[in-house]
Formats: sequence, C-alpha cells, structure tokens
Amino acid sequence: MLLVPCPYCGPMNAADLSYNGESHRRPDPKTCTPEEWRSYLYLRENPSGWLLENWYCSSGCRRHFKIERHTLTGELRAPVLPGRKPGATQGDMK
Amino acid sequence: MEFDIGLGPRRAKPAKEPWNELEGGRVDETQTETAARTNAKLLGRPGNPLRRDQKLSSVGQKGGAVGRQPHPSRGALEERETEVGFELPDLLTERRLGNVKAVGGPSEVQFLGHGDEGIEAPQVRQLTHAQIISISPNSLLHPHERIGQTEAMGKNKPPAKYSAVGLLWRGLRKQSWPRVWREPEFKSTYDVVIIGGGVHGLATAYYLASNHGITNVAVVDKQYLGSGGSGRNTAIVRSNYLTPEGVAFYDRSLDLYNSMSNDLNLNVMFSERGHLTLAHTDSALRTMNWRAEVNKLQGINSSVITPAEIKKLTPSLDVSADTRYPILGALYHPPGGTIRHDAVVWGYARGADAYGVDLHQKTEVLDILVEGGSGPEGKGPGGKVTGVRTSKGDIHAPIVVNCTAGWASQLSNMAGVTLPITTHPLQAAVTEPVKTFLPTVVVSGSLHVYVSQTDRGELVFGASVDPVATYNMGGTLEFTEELAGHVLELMPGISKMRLLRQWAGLCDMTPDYSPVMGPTPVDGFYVDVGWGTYGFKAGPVSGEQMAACVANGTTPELIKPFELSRFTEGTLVGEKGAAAVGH
Repeated sequence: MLLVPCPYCGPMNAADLSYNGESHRRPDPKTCTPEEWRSYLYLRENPSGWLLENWYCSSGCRRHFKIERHTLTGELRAPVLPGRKPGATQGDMK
Repeated sequence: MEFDIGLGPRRAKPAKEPWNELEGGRVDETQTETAARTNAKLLGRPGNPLRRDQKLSSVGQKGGAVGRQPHPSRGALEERETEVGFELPDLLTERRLGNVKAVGGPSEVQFLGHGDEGIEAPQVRQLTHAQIISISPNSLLHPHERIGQTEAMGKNKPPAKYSAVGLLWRGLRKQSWPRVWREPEFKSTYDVVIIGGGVHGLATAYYLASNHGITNVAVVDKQYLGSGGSGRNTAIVRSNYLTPEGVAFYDRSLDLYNSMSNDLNLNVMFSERGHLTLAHTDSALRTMNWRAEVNKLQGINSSVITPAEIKKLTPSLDVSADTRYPILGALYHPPGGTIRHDAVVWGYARGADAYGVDLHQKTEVLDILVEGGSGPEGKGPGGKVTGVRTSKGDIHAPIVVNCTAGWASQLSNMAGVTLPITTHPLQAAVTEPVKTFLPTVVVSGSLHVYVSQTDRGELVFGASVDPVATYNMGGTLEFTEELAGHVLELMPGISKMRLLRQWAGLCDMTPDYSPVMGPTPVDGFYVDVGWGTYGFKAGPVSGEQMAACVANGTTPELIKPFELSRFTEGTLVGEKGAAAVGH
C-alpha cells in the first residue's frame, strides 16, 4: 500500500486519491503550435527515479497537490503546495 | 539425424538434469573444451557419413567450402547423428511444398534447410561438406542476397525438427537433449541490434532472418530471454478487437499463432478454447454488440450470446439474476484461447539462433549512440543511430530496434526520443491445480478480472493495470482481496481454492491503448513498444511487420496507423477493446 501524504489531510492510502500523472508545464494554448500542444498532451518522460506528479485528494479535502515520488522504490518526498517550488531538501517522507 | 542446429558446443556426457538443457546460454568452460576436443577428433576421422541427398547432386563437390560444411562446434554432432537419417522423404516433401529450389541448374541443388533430419542408411559413408541445397528461407531472398549468404550457409538454416523417431532414438541411446541456442561471442559490429529478448524482439530477429535474409543481427537482453512481459503475461490470445486496424492486426497474429507449432517445430500448446467477454451492464452489452458487428465485417468469428448459452459453455459461472453484477450476456469469440508463452519465446529463440542471429543474454544496454541530432550530445530528432553501449562493450550498428516493455521510455530517452508512454504494473495470480472444470477463457470488464485454466489445472487470474505508474513489481494485498472477491462473484464454487502465488509485469500504456511501432525521428532507431496489456497476443505479427519495416525501410500498411508520428499529427487509434478490462 502506498501512503501518500496529502498536505491537508495527512497520510492517505493512494487508493483513496486520484493519480493524475506526471506534472509538467502547460504551454499557452493561444500561442503554441498544434505539435507543441499535442506533445504536452501525450509525451511523457516516464523516468525510473524521482518524478514530480499531480495528485487529487478525491475522497478527502478534494484539493490538488504535487508530490515527488520515486517510481522504482515508492519513496515520497514532502508534498508541494501551490506556488512553491519542489525541492529535494525538504526531508523524505515515507 | 540431426536434432539441434544452431546449438552451442555439445556436452560430452549426458547431463543428469534434463532441465539444464533448456536454458540456453549457460555453457561451462570445461564442457566447451571437451566438446571441442571431441569434435576435432571426430572431424579428423576419415570418411564422414554420406547423406542420401548427396546422391541427388551429382556435382555436389563443386560446392566445396560453401556447402554443408560442418560448423566447428557442431561437427561431431552432425556426424554422429547423420548415422540415422531419413533424407529422401523430407526432400520430396519440401519439393512438393515448393520449398526446394534448384540454384544454378538442376545438377547443383542447394540445401540450406532442415534436410538433415530423419533416418538415413547408416552403412553409406562419405564426406558431407559438398551438398548445396536451398529451401524455403533462402528461396525468399533476392539473388544478390543469396550470393552474400553462401559463406555462412552452414550456419544459416532453420532449426532441425524434433520428431517422435528422434525422441525414441535418444531414449534408447540415453542421449541428452542438446542446448537449444548458442552462447555467441560478443561482436562489435552488427547490421541490426534488437534490444529486448522477449517475444517481440525474438520474433523480429527470426523474421528478419527467415523472411528477409538479414542474419547479422544481435538480440540483447538485460536478463535471460523471456524474463520480462513474455514470461509474465496470462498467455491469452484473441482477435476480437474494436477498431478495424486492431482487428486486422490481431487476426494476422492469431493466424501466425495457429501455424506456429509447425513453423517453429516446437509445440506451443495453442489451445483454441473460446473466449468469453462478459457484460454486466446494458452499456457493456451494447459495446459487445458493437464489437461483434465490427468483427463480423472483418471476417472474425465473434458473436453475442445469452446467459443460457454461457451457462451451457461454462457451467461453473453463476449466471443467475440475483448476483451483485448479473451476467447479461457475453461476446463469444471461439478462435480465442491460450498458448504456452515460454514455448513461444523458446521457439523464436531457437529459430533465430539457427539462422545465425546472436542472442546476448545478461547484456544490459547502457546508452544508445546517436550522431548529428538536435538535442544534447548530438541525440534527438534528426540524428542517426551508430550503435549501442552495453555492459559488455560497444556494438556498432546502423539500425537499433527497441522491442522492450517496461523500459521502453528509458531506452528511447537514451536516443533522445520521447514516447507517449507511462509504465504501470499489472498483477496476476495463480491458484493450486485442480481437475479441469473451466473450458473457456472468461473475461469480465466490469469486475476487472480474467480467468483461464492451464493444462496443469491451475486457474490463472489477471486484472487491470495498477492505477499509479511505477516500475515496482511488488504485489499488493489490495489486488489479492479485490481479485478474490470478483472471481467469487463469477464462480462461487471455487471459494475453497487457495492461491499459489502472485506476480506482476510492467505494461507500457499509451494514451490511446494502441502500440507505437515503426521509425522514429532518429534515423535508424525503430520502436516496437507501448503494447500495454496485450503485447503477447501481438508478438508474432509485430515481429513479422517490424522485420519488414526494418528490412525495406518503409512502414508496412498493417502497422502504418501505429506510427509514433500519430501523436504529433493528432491521428490516434482509440483501441477501447484493447485489454477488455480496465477501460
């Protein structure tokens, strides 16, 4: 079982959250080319290692947050609140 | 009589453990030396056995060095085993099939194929290296390719046949079974490097050699052959997909699976037992009807049946109306069934090896070498592949094919190609063996489960992929609980059965559940990835098509819809019938 620390509700079973995949910047839909937009929609780095992801606390506070997770070991770092930058120095949470 | 072609050095003494013989690639040094010595001794002996076909070729000697010169590591074996042979009937059969083709006039018959199995008059003995006969694989080649092939003729031939006579003979003489493929020496240059020694990689290598005559090929795998998805799937095959592209593709695959035991001369235990996709809701039933109609248009045997008919086919299913998710109907696909996945891997490995393809196990790819690309280190779009860096050293090759699952993104990133893939584990489980009671493959999309009974009597369960992307293949309790609940929902009668074990395999999921095949923006770098939960079903056909793609440099029609460029062009192929569970 993967325990994901929601910044508002605390540790939650991953089954109770919605996993929204890799987090990356959305290009400006007004100025980007169709190719750029489709790359944003479909292409993924999919690393075997640390990955910044979007999660949605669907059966808790119903808020979105980001968190860094190691895709091989399942380790998690501190969740990232909106407006903050992710950092590896915040201490690992498991 | 020759049973093994393309094998490594033969053991001097029969192995005590027969299962050791199945694992290719592990030859210990003392055995190699002994075998080499034995070979040398036997080769030096005057008067090798004459084979019947030699009589057919009156100017056989003309062939000299290009004929059936015994492979250094197999000389002894060939000699010993040609003492019993049954050449003529085989040759005649091949001729009837149109496979034997005279090259350079009637007097010079070329023989490349398995002419050396069967029984032969033991008393006739003569030098063997003079015959030049050619059968099927080479007759497909262009003339110029055939010329280029002659030097390696002793090596490039399809695998010898396993036969009942051979079994008896070996049994009587207490001979051990030889290794099924060689452990080749590491070379630094190949024409094609295929990454991934699973069904897809090996099938690609096999068809490159057999259909296109390209045999200077290396297959590299991080672990042993078939260690990934090929050995972890639930071995179900079917072709009742939803999109016309998907149906055409998988139907070809089913055809190839049907004739596979003959083609590879290895029993893959294809059991065409029928495939049921259950519908528990009205909308599911509507989708089943839709799929059945699409299938019928494509000529696939597929229809929607009622609960009463389901009960008749599979009595252990609970089709009553008082269950939590009553069964309202099912899509019945008689040609679907199960197949022994390991045998498919071994069959292709054996076939590819016999043609001279080098299978490098325990060889991890660390980097893909690219020149002239637009990205960092000259990688990325516009670049050209020059080879791969492996844990055993660099291999130079103008063509690199990525046939991996689970690690497809990592490897493609090494070449500077980003794929639309996320990797999820899929868990499966197997029960203790019981008497046969489940005659069909049962799939339930709503309950996220599929069940089939193996020939040994174990029930094999599979589920949908885990929702969170990870490379971790550990099992979870949630899976076991959910699976048990859902299976009992379908078959309450098996509540006392115990689970034997559970495992997981990695699935590369694409946004449209269709694979990514063909060329990439990096010249010479091909992919055959993104197979999600159904790569095994498509193994043979994707190997065949990828081989054609690599050999001809153009994408065949059958896989055109699955090119990587569809994601930037916005022409996705939504295969909702993909795995029948989970989506």
